[in-house]
Amino acid sequence: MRVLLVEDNPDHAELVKVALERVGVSSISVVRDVTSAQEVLEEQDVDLVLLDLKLPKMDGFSLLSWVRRRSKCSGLPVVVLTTSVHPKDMERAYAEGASGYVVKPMRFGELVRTIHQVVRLWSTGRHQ
Amino acid sequence: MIKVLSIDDERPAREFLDEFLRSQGYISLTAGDGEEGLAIFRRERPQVVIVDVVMPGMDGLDVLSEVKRMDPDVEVIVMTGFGDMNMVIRALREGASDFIQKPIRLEALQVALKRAEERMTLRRRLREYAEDLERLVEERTRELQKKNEELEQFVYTVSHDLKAPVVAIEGFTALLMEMYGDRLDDQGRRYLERVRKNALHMERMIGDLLELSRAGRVMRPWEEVDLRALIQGLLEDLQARAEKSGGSIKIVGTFPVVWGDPEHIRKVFFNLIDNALNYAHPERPPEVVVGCEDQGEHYVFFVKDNGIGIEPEYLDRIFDIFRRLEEKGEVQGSGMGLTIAKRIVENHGGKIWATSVPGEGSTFFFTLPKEAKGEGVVGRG
Repeated sequence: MRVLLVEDNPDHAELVKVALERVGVSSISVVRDVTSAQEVLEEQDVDLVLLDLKLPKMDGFSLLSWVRRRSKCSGLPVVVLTTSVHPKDMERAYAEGASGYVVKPMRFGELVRTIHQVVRLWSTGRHQ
Repeated sequence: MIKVLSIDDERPAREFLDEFLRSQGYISLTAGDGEEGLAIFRRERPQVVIVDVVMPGMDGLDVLSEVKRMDPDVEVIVMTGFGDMNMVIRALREGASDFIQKPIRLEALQVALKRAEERMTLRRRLREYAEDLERLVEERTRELQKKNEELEQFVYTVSHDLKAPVVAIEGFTALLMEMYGDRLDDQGRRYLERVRKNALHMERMIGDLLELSRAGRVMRPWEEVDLRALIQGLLEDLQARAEKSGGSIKIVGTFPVVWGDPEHIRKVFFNLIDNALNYAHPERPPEVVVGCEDQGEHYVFFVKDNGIGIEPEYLDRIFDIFRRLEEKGEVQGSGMGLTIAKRIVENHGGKIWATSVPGEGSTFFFTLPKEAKGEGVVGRG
């Protein structure tokens, strides 16, 4: 599975990478902002995007709506990572097309479970 | 130019007054009886009215109360006959500013007019002063509100920013434990555990700060909140917790519909009941009673428990930020629950306080006004 991680905080990125590696995901690209993410998505095939909502310049939501609008990858599973537990933020994320929502600090088990769930649901063709 | 209306049924008196007033620079109007006088008053709105108390038909006192009704600030000078002190007293009681005796002495009239003018000036000055003051207060209040909003925003931003390093600390500590824990001795693992506990504590405090800053802002438009339904819903969540320790939560009284933010109000009840459950007495199951009383202008709500109680000297400090009287370890509740409740209650125009008997239990009270009190505009005006 090829994963694209969009996260500008290097410590958080490291934590997610370690978690992914421990469950056998070896192909992980890490970018730090929306523009770089768009470039990667244009050029490569990606199976899952992990997206931090709070990014420099453009925020995560703009990438989320970009992904959902592009027919090439509109069905791509996108799990958002965020420090917010507020129900309104969760609602918004799902409303804008998030496939999953992980709250930081993320417990590894939770991150891995969410990824498994999302990938399973989304690759059986069930998407928005 | 000051308009003076003279009302007297005797023509010589009228003419006398008219001539004198003109010579003094006033705009003079005259009337021969009460009805005519009132008609002229309505049309011209003079600032001063000189009226004879004794007249056929409508007497001076009737005229007095009528003009005072139309213009509470009008200066009315009543003219009375010799020995008519009772009339004078009645007139003064009904709002006359002054009286002069007939036959009219010019000096007396001059003095009365002068005093009337002084009063008018004073009144005008007072009004201007009050308006200036009001304007100043409005300005200062706006400035204060702005500063408040900036502060709330600051707390919000900083709290959010603080979360990131906490995430990293928790994450790497967990990794350390998992991947290298077996290479550490007991002490090493204990130290790591303490780091983790502190990181968790920080995380909770930051979460509370964020909640507190949200509690102080109007997040969404206010609406009618059916408290009965709200409490029922709340109890569905909390009853299980109480029953686990063999206790219960009861509702007494009828809960009304109030005006406010439903999520915030729910938080107040939740935090109070949560508190009651957290500070239960070790020797008995928690019995919590939630009630409501109609006290005329507002409703009083209470949450009563049979827990460990609060020492009297702490009763007013329990609502302070990060104030916790007993370390409750990993307890879900936090040191901010009461502070947040206070913020929300005060935002809704109410008050919150507590009474307690140490060792027996505490009761938390808060009020909510019946009348919708402002706010309800998102963004806090």
